[in-house]
Amino acid sequence: MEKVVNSFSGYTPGELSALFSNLSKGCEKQYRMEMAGLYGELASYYAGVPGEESTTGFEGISARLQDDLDALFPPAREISTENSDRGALRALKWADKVSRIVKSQLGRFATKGSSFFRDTNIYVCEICGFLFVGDEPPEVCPVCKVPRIKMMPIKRVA
Amino acid sequence: MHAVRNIRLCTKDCLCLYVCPTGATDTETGQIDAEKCHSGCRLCVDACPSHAISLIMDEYPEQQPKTDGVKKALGLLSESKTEQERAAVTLERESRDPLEKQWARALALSNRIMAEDLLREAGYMLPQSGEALKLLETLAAAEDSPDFPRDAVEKLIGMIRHDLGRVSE
Repeated sequence: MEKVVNSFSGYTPGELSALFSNLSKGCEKQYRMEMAGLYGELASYYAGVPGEESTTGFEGISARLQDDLDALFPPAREISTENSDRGALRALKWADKVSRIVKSQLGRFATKGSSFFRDTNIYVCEICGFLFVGDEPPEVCPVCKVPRIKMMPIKRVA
Repeated sequence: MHAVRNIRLCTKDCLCLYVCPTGATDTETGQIDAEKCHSGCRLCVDACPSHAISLIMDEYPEQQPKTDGVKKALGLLSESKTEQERAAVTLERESRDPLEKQWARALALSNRIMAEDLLREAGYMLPQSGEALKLLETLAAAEDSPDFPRDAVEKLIGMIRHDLGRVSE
């Protein structure tokens, strides 16, 4: 798949938004609130800049996710191993596990629609993105092992 | 280096008040007064029975170097995850069904968090790194949209140069 890039940075607007929201969180952890706010402004700006995305619908997301698992994770693991990049391998392991879990939940959604979570809750782990459907989140995240306090409930807005 | 208190862990045993030589730990806001805090003193850090106090660095070492190959491979994934995030954001916005909206929100957030982590490992871990500075400078020079938050970017560039000990031009 061809990488469509923002010509001057090498990143799409969507990636720049995530890159800056992550740096904003990093500032919060350092109690640098003014800096966090400035990075936050950049993240919001790039969230609103249109890119050249071609993925649409739940089916589109599901197909793209399958492509991640088939075509993008294996070479990324390979090169990170070659370069002895433990940090990259750690992030890839978490994202790979979360991707597989999300893929299976998307499968449930495709066959049953929203009925499988109608009477329960959805949580997302703030640290790794683990998606959990159930009444109470687990004590620790099964992917990144963070305590449940970091499992964010996703509200149902009427 | 100055001390900060994690309010969520603080059990108000007040041992930090007993040991602080300047009174920096005794404030009405729950936070430690950075102005009064002696750099690197750490008496409160060691005295706290709840491990609620830690030291924040004023300077950080350089980030771990990343190879171009790793950056590129992680970049393909962060691009894909953010594209899935955007598709989910559109679904959330356009749906009228509260359940479908909730599902799309969860997907968007999960993808955003994965993308953030991948980008962190692609060389953008530390908010005040040389890499972050270079990216901000590139964007400041190239972006010409009137909506681009130029003031925020210039402020950030100034703060990072200051943190890195570089003289601002």
